[in-house]
Amino acid sequence: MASTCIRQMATLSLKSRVVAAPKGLKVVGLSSPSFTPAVTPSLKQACEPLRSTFQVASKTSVNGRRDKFTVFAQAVTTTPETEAEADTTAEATVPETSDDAPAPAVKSKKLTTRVKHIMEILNKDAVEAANAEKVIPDIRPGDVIQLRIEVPENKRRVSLLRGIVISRRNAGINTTFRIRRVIAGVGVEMVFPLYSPNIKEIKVVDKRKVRRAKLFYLRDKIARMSSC
Amino acid sequence: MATRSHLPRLLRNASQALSPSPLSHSASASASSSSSASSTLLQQCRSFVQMRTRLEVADNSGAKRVSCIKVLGGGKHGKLGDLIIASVKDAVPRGKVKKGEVVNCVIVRAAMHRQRSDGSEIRFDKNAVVIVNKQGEPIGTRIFGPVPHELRSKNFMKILTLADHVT
Repeated sequence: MASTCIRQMATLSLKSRVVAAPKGLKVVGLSSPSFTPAVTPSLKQACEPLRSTFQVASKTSVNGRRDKFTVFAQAVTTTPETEAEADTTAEATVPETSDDAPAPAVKSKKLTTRVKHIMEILNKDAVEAANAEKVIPDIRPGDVIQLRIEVPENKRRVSLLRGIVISRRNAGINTTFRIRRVIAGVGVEMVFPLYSPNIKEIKVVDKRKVRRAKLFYLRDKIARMSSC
Repeated sequence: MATRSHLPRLLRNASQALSPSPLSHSASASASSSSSASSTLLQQCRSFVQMRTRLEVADNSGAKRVSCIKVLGGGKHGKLGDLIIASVKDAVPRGKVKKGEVVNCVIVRAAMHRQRSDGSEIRFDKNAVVIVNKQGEPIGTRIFGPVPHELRSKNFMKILTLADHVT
């Protein structure tokens, strides 16, 4: 029994994709090297030396053709126990092979707590803390916004500022935006940090359709374009 | 490409001499002194007020344009809120100041950005002054256009009260 199975294994070529299984052999579709559980104990000892070569060969063939199955005909006695084993192992190893193929992995930034990521982590925490205190709406270039701001030069009196957002510069906690407005015939531009505690309230009054991220062209346009 | 006549001639020639500059209008204001106007590829060159800078007059004292002679306070560069000595280049016929007079002014609007202590910045489209006397009081009776809060710390309270808009 053992000698016949070894002879049959030897005649089968490893590179062939589909192997015509001789009668009496249970064909188990596997391409991963871990097919030892399917073999019955008596055969295991006999096929030990050959299996090692099989495993080595199978590894290389798997690397060569990832999307195709290499079927190894294996001498497995078709007893009920081994059939069940073989089925489960076949099912167990089938998903493995499909995962081996290069699946497009979803890129996610994992900020592990290492010194390398310390500034990113601190930045993120600061942004989250600022967001928790106050609701900051999403400001985009082209929005006309109204700010309630406490100017330190004005002895902490809250003043109202209005203007069109002409640029937004994202830098974590140092995210700034620039407002432009024509006041009494003179164009005024002001830059504010988005998470500044001096900004008491931001309200988006209007949204203009713009096709740019930075609206610096408004500086050269007529005053009506920047007035709001 | 439309010609932009408001650009100083110097800068236009400089930009033409260099490699074809992109159509994009300026990035943030460059803090370069005006001597390096040719080094900035981008069109807008906003820099300090210094000698020979032409400024608008934002009050009704009679002058229309002045030319800076000296920046007071020891520095070479004038920023928002600084005092300068200027010579009147253009004036209306019957005003308090005449053409050719040497006057003291305070810069109320500067094209160069001025940072505030909370991290914000302010800047205007044009440079403008208000003509003052030696005590710091404006000669004119009306102020046109917005003025910044920086004048408060420099004790130009009269200008702030006269102005219609304080930003």
